[in-house]
Amino acid sequence: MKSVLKIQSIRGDDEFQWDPGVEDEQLRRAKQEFAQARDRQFFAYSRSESGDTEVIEDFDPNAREILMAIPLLGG
Amino acid sequence: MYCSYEAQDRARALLLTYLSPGQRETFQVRGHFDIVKTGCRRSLEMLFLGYPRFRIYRLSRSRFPVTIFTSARQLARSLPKYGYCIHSHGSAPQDDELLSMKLLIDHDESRFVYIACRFRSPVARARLLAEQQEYWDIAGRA
Repeated sequence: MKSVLKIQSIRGDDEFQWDPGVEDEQLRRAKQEFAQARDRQFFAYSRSESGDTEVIEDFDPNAREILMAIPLLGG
Repeated sequence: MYCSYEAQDRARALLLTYLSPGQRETFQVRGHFDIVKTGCRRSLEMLFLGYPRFRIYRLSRSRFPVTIFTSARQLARSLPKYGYCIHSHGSAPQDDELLSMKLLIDHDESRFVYIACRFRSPVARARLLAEQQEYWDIAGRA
């Protein structure tokens, strides 16, 4: 089953899929997009099959779903 | 820059997948959902700011997307004590913002409190003024 990275954007969200355990271009692209979103202060969450979410700091290639949530400002 | 309808639909679908069944039902019927943080750990900053044990955040698509109830009485009367001013950096569908806020409150409430600007709920204030006005109207007639 494919894993997916979802990054919130003006288009709703952008999806990047990869095969866990397969070191290929899709995985490299997902890692790169994750790193870029982190640089833009996005919050990173991993979501399991049961629907539970947890905060992650680094890209997890074995995660089922990773969500990059938009950064928030007060005021 | 405005989001397309398609983007809003995608954001809505994504938000719904991240809500619990109860939250999803309430959101679809009433347009809001609650996050119960009663009894959860409070940071030192939250203690200084007077956050009580009872805390229920209400998220909606209204002008003030996040409000907090700090007692069961407020919740029963739908009169939140505080509202929060918080938004995203750029143009994103409102449901994406709601999801980001929900996850932040779920996982790092103290950071949410740090980021968001808290203010006295305008809903509660408006109702209080209306009640006072009503009281004075009745008193004036007597």
